[in-house]
Amino acid sequence: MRIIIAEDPNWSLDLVPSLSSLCQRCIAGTIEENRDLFEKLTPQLKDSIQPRLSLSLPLHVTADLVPDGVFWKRCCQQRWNICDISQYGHSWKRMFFERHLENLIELFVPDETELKVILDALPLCKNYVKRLNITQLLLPSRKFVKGRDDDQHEIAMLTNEEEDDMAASHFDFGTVLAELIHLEELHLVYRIKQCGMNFEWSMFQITDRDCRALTIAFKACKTLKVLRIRQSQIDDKKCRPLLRCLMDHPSLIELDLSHNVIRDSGARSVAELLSKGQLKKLNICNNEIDIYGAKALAQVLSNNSTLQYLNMRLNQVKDEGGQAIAEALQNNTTLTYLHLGGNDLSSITAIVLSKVLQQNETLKTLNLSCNTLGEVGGKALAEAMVHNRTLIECDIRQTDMDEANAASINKAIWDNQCAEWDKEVLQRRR
Amino acid sequence: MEGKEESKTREDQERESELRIKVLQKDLSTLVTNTQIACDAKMVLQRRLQGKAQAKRLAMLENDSTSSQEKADEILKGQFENFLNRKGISEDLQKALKKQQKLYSTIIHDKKAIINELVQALKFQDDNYASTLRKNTEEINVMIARMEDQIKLMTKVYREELAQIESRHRQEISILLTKDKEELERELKRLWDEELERLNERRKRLEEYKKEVHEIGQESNYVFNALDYERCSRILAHEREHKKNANSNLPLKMKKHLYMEKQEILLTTLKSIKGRITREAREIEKLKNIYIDHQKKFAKQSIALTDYTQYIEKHERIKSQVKHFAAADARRFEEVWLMIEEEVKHLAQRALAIDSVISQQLYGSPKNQTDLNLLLLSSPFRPWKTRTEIVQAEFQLVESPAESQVENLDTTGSTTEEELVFTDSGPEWEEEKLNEDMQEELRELLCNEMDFLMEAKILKLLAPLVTEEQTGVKLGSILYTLGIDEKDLPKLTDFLVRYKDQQNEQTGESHRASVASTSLDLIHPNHVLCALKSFLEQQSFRTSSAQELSRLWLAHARDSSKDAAYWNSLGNIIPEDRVKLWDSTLRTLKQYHTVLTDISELTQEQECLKDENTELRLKIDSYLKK
Repeated sequence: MRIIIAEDPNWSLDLVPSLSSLCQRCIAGTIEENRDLFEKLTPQLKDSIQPRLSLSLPLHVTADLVPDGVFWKRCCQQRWNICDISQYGHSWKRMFFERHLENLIELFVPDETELKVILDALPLCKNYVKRLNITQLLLPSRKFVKGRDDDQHEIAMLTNEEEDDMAASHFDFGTVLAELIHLEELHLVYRIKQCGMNFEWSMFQITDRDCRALTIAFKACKTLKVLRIRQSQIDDKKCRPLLRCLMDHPSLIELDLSHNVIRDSGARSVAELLSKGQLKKLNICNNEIDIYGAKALAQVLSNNSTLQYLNMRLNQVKDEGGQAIAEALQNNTTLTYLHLGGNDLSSITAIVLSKVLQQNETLKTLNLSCNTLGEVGGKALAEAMVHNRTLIECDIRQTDMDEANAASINKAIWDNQCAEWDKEVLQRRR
Repeated sequence: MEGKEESKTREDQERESELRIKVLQKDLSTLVTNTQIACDAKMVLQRRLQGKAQAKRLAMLENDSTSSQEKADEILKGQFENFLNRKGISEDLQKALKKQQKLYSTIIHDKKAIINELVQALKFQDDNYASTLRKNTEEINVMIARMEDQIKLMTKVYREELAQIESRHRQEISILLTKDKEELERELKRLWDEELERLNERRKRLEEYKKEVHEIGQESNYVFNALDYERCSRILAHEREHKKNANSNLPLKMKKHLYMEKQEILLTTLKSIKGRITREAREIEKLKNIYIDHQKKFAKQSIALTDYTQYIEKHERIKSQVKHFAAADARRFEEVWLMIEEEVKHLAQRALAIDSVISQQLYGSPKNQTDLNLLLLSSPFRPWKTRTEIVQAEFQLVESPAESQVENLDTTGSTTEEELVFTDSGPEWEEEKLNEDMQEELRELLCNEMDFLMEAKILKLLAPLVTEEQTGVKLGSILYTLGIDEKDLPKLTDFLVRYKDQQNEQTGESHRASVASTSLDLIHPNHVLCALKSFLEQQSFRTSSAQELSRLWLAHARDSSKDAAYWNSLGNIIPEDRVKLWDSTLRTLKQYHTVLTDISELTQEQECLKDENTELRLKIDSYLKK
């Protein structure tokens, strides 16, 4: 008898791959041609094929074909070092597409890059993108070149700069927002990262034209819930049309315009938006809102029944504005978070607030840091906190308070916190 | 209770650890938040400083602008004065100019000073900014380091807490375990003790039971024996009684025997009945079979019947075909007849013409051409068309009881037929009932004339009878043979009378005279047969239209008898003596012809001879001339 043994000495029956694994390998290798075949596979098989798929496959093949899983994890990890999936709803696919689109937009140079690059990517991304976190927006390159290279022309340029400013515009979000049907969050920063020595103020501000484009874009995007435009030099003039177009937006819940240069009239339009929209969170910290803006906001706040979060850190509300806001809290039953840090408040506001705090039962967090409340204010607050049972956080650092009052306030807060935890524990047990 | 307390402590412990962690978190995060707040404070301070600087700058600028404005005003004033004092000396002017220049220079100086100040301030600010940036970075680094430390600390704390909690839990578990074990052992011991006690009790009880059982067994043995005895005695008594009963049961046995016999008889009868039943069942089966056979037969017959109906239909079709063919044949016959007749007539005419020519030429006596129609008998053939029409007319009149005599073939004219039709109207005939005598006479006549229809034997047998009886019997037999109902007898007689009248009209006066001499009322005995035939035809025609065909044929057959005479008359249109005459003339003509031929030959010879003569004469003349 002759027995034929394979020439490979390492061959053994155990090493022979099963037919299914061979098929999977084949499908993984030819997925571009055999899309239907892949679609017919069971989810388990799809998952087992994913680690084998080549990362160099074109996006238009994989976008709708490959479900969320190992493949997209590999894609993400290949492109970016840090991948925090928890920020993307634990979906690798969503992360990949969001960051992909963000990258495309961040590297988009108006008048230079072809819009087709983004238009091609949009249909692939639109089903998976829920948030766009844009951290930079480039300007047409022409200006930098001229401004940088020859200083002599700079003077000549200055005359035209105003017009150029009008003409210059960043990336137009109209098409993108209209296409992305699941978009819920939009974070914009009109600035350029790592500009180095090419710095120019115009790089760090939103233009009128951008504002106009944005107003049109927001009308097309009906699913937007969170809008954040930070550090973009939005002043009253630019603020107004933006907020006006958001007034009848069906789904907007959170607005963040921090680190801009909004003044009283801007604050007034914000107040208008508050009165007509359904905002739940409003962040306008580090602006230049003054007494009158604060009064306008306070007036709305006393009637509003949706806003839960208000951050007015680092504005110049002063005592009058602070008083108005504090009095508004008397009628408000929704606001749970209020930040009035660094607003030039004094003991007068503290006294009014302490009166309000004795009655209010919704406010949970109050921040009064960096205000010169003084000993009088501290005493008033300490007395008020004896009667309050809801406030679980009260920041009174840097307020020139004496130790005793601060301690008593902290003690009251601590008690409230403990009560809250007990309640939570009880709820959990149920 | 202990367990509950334990759990409570555990929960408390967990809560405590949670609280501790939260406090830790808070305390640790305060560091970070503190820096944040510090930043904010710094920011506020900066802003305030900036505001102050800005205000200062603004004030400075304002001061500067007011001072420069004053100076400018002064200069303008000077200029104005100069302008007013034109007449002034140039020195003054120069002075004024110098003053102006000084003023300008001071203004410029001031401005420059302000600019310098501002530049310095800017520089300072820049430096400040840079330094703050640096500080910020440092701070950030420190913060990061701190945060990392904190994180480490936190993790450490968490771990410690966890370890603590774990150890605590383990301890608790171990304590619980030991407790449980102890308890278990105790319980087990108690259980075993109880079990041992129970077993001992059981053993004791078992022994007691054993004893009891033994006693009971003995007792039961005694009881059983006693019972046995009793039973035996009872059985014996039973046997005794049984025997007694057997002795007393003899008459009963007899009765039983009788009953048995009866039963046997009944059984036999039953058997016979059963047999009968079986037989009947068999018969029934047979009958059933027969029934089935019959059914089958019926089925066959029904098939045959359907066949038969088909045949009938076929027959009907053939009949209609035959009828059609008959009609067609008759028509064709008629046509042929007419054609031939025509031809023959033509021939006859020609013969007559030739005859007349012959007689004229040969005999010189100009004989008038005899009319063919005078010579010929009337054609026995009536054109078919009229006949069919009449038949149709008849059918219309079929309801009238007195039937027309259309079928009488001896009649030639349609006029007479019509007359007959009218004269034969029923009521007339009904009213003119013939008297008894005439009827009797007619009957006798019929019998006498028609006795050839009867068999000779019957005639012989009838001969001795009285004439009246004879006539009755004869009439019956004749009517029977002719197929005439006795009800139709009066009709027949009537018909005969009518026939006679008609005949009389037809034949004319001469006949009438002769007939009248014998009997005015009665038909001539020679005509009876014809009349009877016609009557029969009529009758049959009336009785059944189905017999029409045969009747038609009958008509034809009878027709042919007359035809011969007709054709003969046609053939003999040239009389015999004339033919003989023709023969003789032919013969003489032939002779004449021969003579004439001889003459012609002779004349030819003569001609020849004449020619020879002339030749000879010419020769002679030539000779002579020579």
